[in-house]
Amino acid sequence: MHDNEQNLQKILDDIFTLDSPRIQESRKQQIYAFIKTTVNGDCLREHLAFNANLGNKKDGAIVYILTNVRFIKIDIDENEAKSASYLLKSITGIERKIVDGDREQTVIVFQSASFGLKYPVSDEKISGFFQKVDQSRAGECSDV
Amino acid sequence: MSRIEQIPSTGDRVDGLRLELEGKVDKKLSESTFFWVMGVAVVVVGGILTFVMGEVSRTNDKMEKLNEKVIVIDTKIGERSNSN
Repeated sequence: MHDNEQNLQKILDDIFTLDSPRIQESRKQQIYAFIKTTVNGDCLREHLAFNANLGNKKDGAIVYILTNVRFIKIDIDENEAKSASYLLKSITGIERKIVDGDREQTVIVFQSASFGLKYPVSDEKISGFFQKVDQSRAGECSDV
Repeated sequence: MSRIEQIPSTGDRVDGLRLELEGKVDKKLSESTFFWVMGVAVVVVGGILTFVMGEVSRTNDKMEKLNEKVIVIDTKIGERSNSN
């Protein structure tokens, strides 16, 4: 449990070191409580926080959290934070392709939903995270 | 625009939470804006000071010329008094 608290704090620290755009420091407590509620006691495995275009020309931050049972995606912009939780066992596939010549497009497909990301091919943090999601499907990160 | 771009979610509604981020957003001046404002302020204040100094200088010049005229008039009055 203590490890989980530390990991939650680390996720928070990563969010608040992003700087284009930068999330207001005054929102730290709110965001921490939101993430803690969203994680809901799952064991945290990996996380990634980065600035991105959220769609509709809106820039913000995206947080991916991989737990022992779920993939959690949190979108944060200046007005709201939204989370979406997906069970790892409902992942049916991960599609990757190169687009625009220098960006990779990765789409995670679940039994009844999908979402994805376009990012520079050179961004090893993001591609590494998706590899871990892939590995988690194979049960290598099982906590049982 | 960021090079990292989210592809919109599709499919059924998923479990999720939403947090409305309330509160007034304090917009701090960026550094470049701050320097611009300071620069403009310096130019404006400098301009005003230059104008004021110019006016003071011109006033001083006029006063000196007036003083010279007063001295000349005084001298002429003095000469007339002496001759009388």
